[in-house]
Amino acid sequence: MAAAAAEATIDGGGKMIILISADGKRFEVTEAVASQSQLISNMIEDDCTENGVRLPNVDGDILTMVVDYCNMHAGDAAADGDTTKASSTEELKKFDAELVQALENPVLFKLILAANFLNIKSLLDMTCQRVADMMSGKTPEQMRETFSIENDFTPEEEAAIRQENAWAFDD
Amino acid sequence: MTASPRKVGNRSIAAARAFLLQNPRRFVLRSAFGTGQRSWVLVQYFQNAPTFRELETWSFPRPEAFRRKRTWDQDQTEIEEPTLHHLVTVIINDFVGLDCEVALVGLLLSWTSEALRSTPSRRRKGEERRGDPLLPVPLFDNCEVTIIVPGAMHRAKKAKVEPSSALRSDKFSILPQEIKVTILSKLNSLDAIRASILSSAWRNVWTTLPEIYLCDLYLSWGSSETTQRSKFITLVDLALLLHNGPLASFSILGFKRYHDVHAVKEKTKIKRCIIGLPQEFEGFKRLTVLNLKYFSSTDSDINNLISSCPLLSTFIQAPALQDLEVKGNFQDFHLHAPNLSNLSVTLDKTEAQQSVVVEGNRKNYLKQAMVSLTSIVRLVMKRCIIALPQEFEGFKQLFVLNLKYFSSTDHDINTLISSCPCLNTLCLKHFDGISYLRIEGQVLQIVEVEGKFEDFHLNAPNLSHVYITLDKTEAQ
Repeated sequence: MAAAAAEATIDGGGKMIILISADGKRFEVTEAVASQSQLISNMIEDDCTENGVRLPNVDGDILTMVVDYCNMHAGDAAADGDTTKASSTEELKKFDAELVQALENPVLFKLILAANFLNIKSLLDMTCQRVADMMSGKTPEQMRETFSIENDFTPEEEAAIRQENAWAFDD
Repeated sequence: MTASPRKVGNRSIAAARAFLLQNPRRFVLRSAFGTGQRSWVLVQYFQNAPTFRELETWSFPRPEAFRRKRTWDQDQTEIEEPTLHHLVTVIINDFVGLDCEVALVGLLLSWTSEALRSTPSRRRKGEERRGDPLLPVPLFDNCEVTIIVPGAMHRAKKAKVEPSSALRSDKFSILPQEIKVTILSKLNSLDAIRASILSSAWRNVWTTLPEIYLCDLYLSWGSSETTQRSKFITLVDLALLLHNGPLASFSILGFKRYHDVHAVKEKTKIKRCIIGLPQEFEGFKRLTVLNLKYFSSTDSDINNLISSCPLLSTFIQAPALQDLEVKGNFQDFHLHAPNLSNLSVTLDKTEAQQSVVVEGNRKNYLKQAMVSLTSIVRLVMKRCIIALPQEFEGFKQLFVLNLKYFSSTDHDINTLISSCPCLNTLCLKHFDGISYLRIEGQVLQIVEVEGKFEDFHLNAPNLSHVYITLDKTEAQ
């Protein structure tokens, strides 16, 4: 991913965009791929991507995942009505499932934040869904343990909340 | 962090414009601006309010967009860049150091007066400003720039810089509020509410969920049926009480029997809502205001809901509603439902004397409702006062009119009857205030009148059935 010309074009005819992570890694993607991020899509619309898009709060390893995800899903919007879609939809599902299943919590959170920052709705939905799945059906104690949530209530406060909402915490 | 550009709706633009005309000292931009068009609007704002002293904005604004000519060249009128001589404080929230964010700072600088830009700032709020290699040194002199960097990833960096601050591994709790809401919205509502015990950061997240769906099947409490019922009721009550709105959808689905126990807060405002009621729903006993807009429901559910709220002064706005039956004891009834074809309004007996009254000049919404019912086919009203507003244009499609235990005036009742060209069946029973009754109708077939009156005029060539009874008192 060395400094390739920002204006380079590929077969698809799309313009290339360079994304630069917080630690200076450069990723070259097509406009179609990058546009899945609403943030970048807006920037493209305003022609402010010529010198590459600096993403100062997304680390290289996270951006690698995001770019992989966007590459996989780039066909989504572009290939409407394509009859070969059926199989690739399956592949996408599999790819998505494997992507989120494998994530350690800290990476998952970073990915959520990146998806939120870059405004990639489908990725944000998918990662949030993963967290929700991990929370579902757990007691508050189990949730705290799973996500290392710091309980900052005093014992009195917690007792008061439990008392107030006794209906929800009785198992 | 509010990375997603929130749209500035037309309404907020108008509101902002009005606000700016008052020459505010402080200017807060809640929304990041998405398109060049909107950024152009922003420049206009600044021009309209040259004296504001404090600007607070949420990233991510894109100054490039409003520097380019084409965004404000639409009418071939070039807009001058504003001068902000009075600007003293700039607060940029969620600043992450994107080039364009930095450029915004630069742009604001270029709009302040020369004097302000001469020396670097010594009055930065160092506490809140995080070191970021991408940030230029602000050149404001009297101007104080506060840049609030969102937590999350920067927090980790900060921890390295300041070893004294506790290393927080709890990334989960410092997720932006909107992400927490997104996560909770993917849980069932009960689990979402339970998350309030996790930590203070999660305490109130569920109260902004746009959709609440409560179903008693989710509850697997091992207690007796009675306890389970009362728990579900408390759950519904609390959810309604504590929710911070706006609610897009509030659904209750109950499979057990719930009697006499729904005593929720007095005001419920539900918009864009799907209303499903437990089979044995017994009503919100203390509900006084029910504001339903754009809701979808079944006829029987909505009838049930309204009829079972005894203290309700009802307001119903339901453009698609076709059948409505309201029974109960309410003070007033505000109805806007242009597609309503079947309406039945009945007041409880005990309140017969004073409800839905036009006391002096008191505004009476039921009266107004008469105008909105343009598609009404069948109208039944009991124990109401029948009064017509001046704008009344008649019920062009009314087929059946059935009024009982009502009071009215000669003029109103005669106007009402004569402005219903399709009236087929007319039934008037037990009324007050009418002395001369005039019934005319080319297609009228059935007339039933029972009450006390002095004179009666009937002109209906196609009548097939007529029943007229004078009240006993009058007969003597």
